[in-house]
Amino acid sequence: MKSFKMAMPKTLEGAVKVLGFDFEKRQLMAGGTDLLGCVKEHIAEPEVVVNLKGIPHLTDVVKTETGVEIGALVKLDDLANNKEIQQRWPALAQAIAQTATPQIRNVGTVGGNLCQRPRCWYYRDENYHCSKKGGSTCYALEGENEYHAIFETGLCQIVHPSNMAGPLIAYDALAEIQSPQGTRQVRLEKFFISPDMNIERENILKPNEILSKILIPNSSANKNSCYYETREKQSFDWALCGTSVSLKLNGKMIQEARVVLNAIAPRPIRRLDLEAALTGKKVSKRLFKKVADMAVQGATPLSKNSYKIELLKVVIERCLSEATEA
Amino acid sequence: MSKNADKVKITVGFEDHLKEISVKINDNDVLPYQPTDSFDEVGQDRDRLDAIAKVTGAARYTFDRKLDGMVYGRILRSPHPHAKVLSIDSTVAKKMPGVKAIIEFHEVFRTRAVRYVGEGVAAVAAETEAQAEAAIRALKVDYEVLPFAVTKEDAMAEGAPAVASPNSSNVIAPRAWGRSEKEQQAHLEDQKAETDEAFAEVKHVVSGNFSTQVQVHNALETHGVVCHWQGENLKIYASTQGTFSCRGQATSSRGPIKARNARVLSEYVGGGFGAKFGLRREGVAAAILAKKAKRPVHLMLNRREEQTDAGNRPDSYQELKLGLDSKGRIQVMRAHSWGTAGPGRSGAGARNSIIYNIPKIDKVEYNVRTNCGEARAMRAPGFPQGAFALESLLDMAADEVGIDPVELRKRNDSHPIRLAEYDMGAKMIGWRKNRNRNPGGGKGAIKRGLGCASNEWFAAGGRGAACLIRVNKNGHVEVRSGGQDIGTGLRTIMAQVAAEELGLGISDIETFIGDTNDPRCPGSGGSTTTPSLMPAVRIAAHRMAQELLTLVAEKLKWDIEKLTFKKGAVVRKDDKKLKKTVTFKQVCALIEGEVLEINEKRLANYGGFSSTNSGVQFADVEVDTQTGVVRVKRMVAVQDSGVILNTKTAESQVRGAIIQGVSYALFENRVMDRQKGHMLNADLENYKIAGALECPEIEVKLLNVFNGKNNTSSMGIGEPPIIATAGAIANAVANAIGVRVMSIPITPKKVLEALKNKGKRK
Repeated sequence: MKSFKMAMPKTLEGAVKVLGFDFEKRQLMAGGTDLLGCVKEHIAEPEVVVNLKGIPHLTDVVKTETGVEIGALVKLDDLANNKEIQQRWPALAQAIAQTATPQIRNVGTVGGNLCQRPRCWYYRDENYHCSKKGGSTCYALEGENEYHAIFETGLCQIVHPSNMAGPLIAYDALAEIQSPQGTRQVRLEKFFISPDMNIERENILKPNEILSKILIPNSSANKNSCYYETREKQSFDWALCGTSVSLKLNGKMIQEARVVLNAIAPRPIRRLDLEAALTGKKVSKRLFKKVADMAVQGATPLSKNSYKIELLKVVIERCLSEATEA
Repeated sequence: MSKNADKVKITVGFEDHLKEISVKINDNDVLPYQPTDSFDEVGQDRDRLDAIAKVTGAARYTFDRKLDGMVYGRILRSPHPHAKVLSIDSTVAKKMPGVKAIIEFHEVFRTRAVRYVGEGVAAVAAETEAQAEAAIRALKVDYEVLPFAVTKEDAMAEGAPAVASPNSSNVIAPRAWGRSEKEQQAHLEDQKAETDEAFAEVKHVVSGNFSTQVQVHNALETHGVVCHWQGENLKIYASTQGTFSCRGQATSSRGPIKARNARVLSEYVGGGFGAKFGLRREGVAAAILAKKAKRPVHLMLNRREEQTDAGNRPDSYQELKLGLDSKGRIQVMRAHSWGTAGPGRSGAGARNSIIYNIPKIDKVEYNVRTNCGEARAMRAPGFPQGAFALESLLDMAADEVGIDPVELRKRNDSHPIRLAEYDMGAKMIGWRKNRNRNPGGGKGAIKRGLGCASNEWFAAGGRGAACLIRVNKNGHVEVRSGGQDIGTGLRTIMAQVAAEELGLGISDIETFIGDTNDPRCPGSGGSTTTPSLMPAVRIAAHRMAQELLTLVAEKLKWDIEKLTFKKGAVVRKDDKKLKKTVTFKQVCALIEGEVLEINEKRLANYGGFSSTNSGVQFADVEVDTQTGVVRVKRMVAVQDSGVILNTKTAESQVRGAIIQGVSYALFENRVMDRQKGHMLNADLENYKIAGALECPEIEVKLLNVFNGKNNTSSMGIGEPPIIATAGAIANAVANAIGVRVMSIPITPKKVLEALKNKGKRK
């Protein structure tokens, strides 16, 4: 591990000033669970680590008139145990409960989870100068890709590692971003980007910007929502496929739908086509199967991961069923 | 005196399978434990004496050692799977802050060849670990990069690059046992022809091709040492399975360390599954760095190094064929296997011809060299891979013959203990009631299935251990052996065996292990530490008791023949009351001088009841046929291991082996990249090991067997229980879903693909 300086800004405005214009040289730290791994594996060699812990109120969960604001440094475990979240936005609590390990959830934060770097084993090995690290090759394309993407493949085959991003997008969450010019809000689904926009990054943040909070609107609170994922191991593992849905029901009629897929592409993908196919329809197993079949059309699996297509269909069907049974 | 006059009759066997045999007991030895003996300590459920120290962090492992002036060693490792080290430039590294010593491996180990990614090239000692890490990264190595192969398939392909040396083939044919290559070829052909004839004559033939993955040991504490020179003598704290083999290596006149004397200390070891014998390169490097730096050196591997350069269980591809008669009795087997143990030439066999009676066998094991980390012995080396394949094929045979899989096993098994174990285990798991009669059928995505498999081991132990017992005048008792405890509870059972002879409780005894200044003990391999050491402990304790009783008998004019120790005092063997209560402490006060010492060696084994111990396991699984996820709900293990000295620690070994077996069956898998030859999951995130939620409910029945092999009748239990687990789980999965997954780990991907293929076949 290369030694680095630690900056402890007291304000967000101060923090963005320290950050500067180079992702590599100055890096943000929230819980630090991902950064530490990157530093130890020599994936990140920052000169300055900008620790956000000294900034007040980033750990707050605040109820406002329009919804709930979640500070970027709220610990995963605290959010999963928040009664308000559990009751009104259950899919979010479900997703967090399946994230990492109890130890990591006690340290890891909301902002850190959404901004963590990919887990692709080629990316994580310093000996592979892959395209995400500025190289010219994606080694996963010809290599060991059973856990990689089945959508938006080609340039870079990572899957975005955050599972809580899915439910947040399904709940129409906004991301608040601090930049030197001030703050702005973007829809979380627009926060994540695909490799063709910038292969070296997974979101829109510039080097001197910070994801400061997540806002979930009251209007999205919905008990008929669900997060469902499947993985090889039940204790500490990454999702093979995940789905988040939120269905506004009138009796058996679906009035409005959100469907977000994760662990299958370089970003969590909201599927408007599936939402349209559900809207105005009556809840039925047949409908869900139809939607699941529709979901995987256009998938572009790699040499070793076509099993994820069948798996994704199952996950979507189960997620929809569980959401309607709630 | 006639020869037979020396013989005594002892009872051997288990439960209602007891018999009398005549044995000539060695001079100086005591009779093996007998079913009629009553015990206060032996065979009881006892917490580990060091349990509190371990869970509170008070126990000091090698990793925890901090000596005055200590510096840290790090090893530079090759990023190339196959290369030659041309030169190493240390100009920059030498001048870096904190750097105290640098060594080049080609000078120490006399080879410039690098045969896998992660093989050591040089090492640095520096004031801090970070400084050492920075310095190795500043070493400039000039490599001649050579072509490589990291999978068996690549290494066996036409025109594959030579993995080890241009003069040696990548595929190593079985050893010739003195035959010429030509004779060996003819022998294998004869063997095949003979079995071909047998296959032609049998009623049923089943066959299958099975694969198993490379499994990495991943003990909690990684490999490593702290080396401290005191003049010409070397003190080594080591995380090791063999304190004395480390000492031997350090003092060998042919080795690179050449210490005048060495003392190896290993008070606590954070686990060892067969890879921690000897100092290995990291230990040698630390010793030499310490000499150069004139400072103690702490060198522990990190998790990546542990997975790439500290051994593994080889993989296997096994082509199996079985011929059976109409009653399901095996007549003939063919087992051809290919496995890789890394660049070496041996160690990749798949053992599967031990347990069942197989009259004719055509078994050929090929070792395939690859540019991957070297294999080392791992918990029952060769056996779990062989058992997974054969036990799977036995279930396929049972289907073919049309009989129950447990019945089929019993018809082909003659082990006196295991035959009883099948019935016990079947009853515990509810075999008749719970087995799936319609595999893959019925409603719902979740299917349940049961499976069975068995194991066998050779854990009677042998000579080479000794024990020193020292009793102070004040009644303090210490029991010493220089051996190591890799997790089996050695300290505790030593105390139990000694306490039994001295009529004390285990808390009255202080046990010392892990110091080569104490009496010798063999390395902990082959599940033999307990059966090798405990007989020495028992003789020493028995003789100590006799000496102490002599003191009291002489003083009080009692007949020593009638005396023994029980519950902290002298009593009569016939339970009659003594005139006077004399406590153990009062007896010790009679010791002339300050202390009484007895040092006793372990003697040779007797014939006994059975030289092998055995076990049977049953798995109860649920498979989600839509997601492919397998959950092992319950495992039943019936296991014997001679006389069980501590039911708690013995059971713990079975549980641990089952958990590791579940992990092997469903999750663990070393993933190699064929493009650049690196292990892609050399961490504990993507190298998946069963966690708390993966652990099934485990029911263990320990069968107490009075085997008479030694005075404690004990055997070892660390390895055998892992043999059966993957096979039992694979059979349970097949029973659940009606289709067989022919390779482990049985991942969701493989389950889904197997189900898909089954659909296609219909």
